[in-house]
Amino acid sequence: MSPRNRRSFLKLSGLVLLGLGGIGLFSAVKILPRPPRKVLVKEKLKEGQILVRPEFFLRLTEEGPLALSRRCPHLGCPVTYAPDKEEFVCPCHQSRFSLEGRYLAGPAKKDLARLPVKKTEGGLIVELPA
Amino acid sequence: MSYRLRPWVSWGLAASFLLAVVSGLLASYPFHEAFPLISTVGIETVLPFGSFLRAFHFYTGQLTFLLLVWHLVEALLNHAERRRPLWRWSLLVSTFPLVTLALFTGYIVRGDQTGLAAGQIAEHLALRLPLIGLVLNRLLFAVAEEGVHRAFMAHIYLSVGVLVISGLWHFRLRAVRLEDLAVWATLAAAVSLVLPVSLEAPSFETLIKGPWFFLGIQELLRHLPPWLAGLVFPSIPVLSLVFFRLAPRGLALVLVLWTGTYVILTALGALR
Repeated sequence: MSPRNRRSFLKLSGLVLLGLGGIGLFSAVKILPRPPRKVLVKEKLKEGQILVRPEFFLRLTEEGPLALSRRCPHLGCPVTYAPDKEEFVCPCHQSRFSLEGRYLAGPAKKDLARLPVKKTEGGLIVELPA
Repeated sequence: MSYRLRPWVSWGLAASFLLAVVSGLLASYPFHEAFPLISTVGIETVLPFGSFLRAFHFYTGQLTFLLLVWHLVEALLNHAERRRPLWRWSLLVSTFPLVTLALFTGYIVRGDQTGLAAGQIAEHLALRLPLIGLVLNRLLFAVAEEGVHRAFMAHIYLSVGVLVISGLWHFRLRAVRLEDLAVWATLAAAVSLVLPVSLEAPSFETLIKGPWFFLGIQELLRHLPPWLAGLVFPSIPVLSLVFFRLAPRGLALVLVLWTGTYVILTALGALR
């Protein structure tokens, strides 16, 4: 193999490897599913009570238990509960949400994410996205 | 107009930076990144003079940032960019965003309410950067998956790295005089004794204010889309500094206008 051909071959191999690496990275991040985290809530909730956990809010509604992510859809700050206004408020940029997680005001423009909840004998299981 | 750099500012900057890094390395010994808030409180309560040490680290860090801004303005007034090739000037200018990042990650590392929110915002902003966002977030933040681990590493690596590299290449670290160290250490120690550094446990606050130098961006994020307020706006001064030689008058005006806007935004954020 002449030096010129060898150089072209090495260049092509390098590009193929780079492409494969890129595809691998993309698959690892975007395509391959990661298992969701599950959190068991043993507390017995009363109607109207809001349970605040580091990752989510949990309350009982007429339709059943409702779990809302505490991640603000704007920039991910942990949303807090403002009992005086009966709203959820993002402390970083003051986006506001109703107790159902509906967007009310502020820069977020989206509702709080609803998380799947399952009833089991041991309590409620809230699924957090990976 | 001829203008000379004030040596006491330049050497004050080097001395403050050295004091911040040394006090940070001492304070980091009992720090455990799995329990950031608890171990930060631990530094204050368990370590002898821990509260003073943490405050000293905080204020020498603040002094470093303020003196770096001063030094940068002096360098621009002195036309320092004309005497260096573009790559060298760009490397020098890059110390400004790197030191700012080191200061910012220091807030995240505390793990208190402000730190947690700052980490989440930084992660989301980094992820919006095209192409390099994912890698940058993995390198510097990744707070959702790894807590403060990455930010802690970035804080140490950036601080020590910038000090050592600029100390070897831009000024002589060995030439930092004992008198300078004593003066700036006394100043930081005096402030540390009078003004303790606050630490807020996570609570149901509906308003969290970020680090003082971040208040302007925090305010702008309330009104503009994150890519514009959190990425484009802060990159304006950095790019203006790098390419300053191309249009000194025009870019000086851009820097002055940007700084004026930022001061107003900071005031609005602080008054909330």
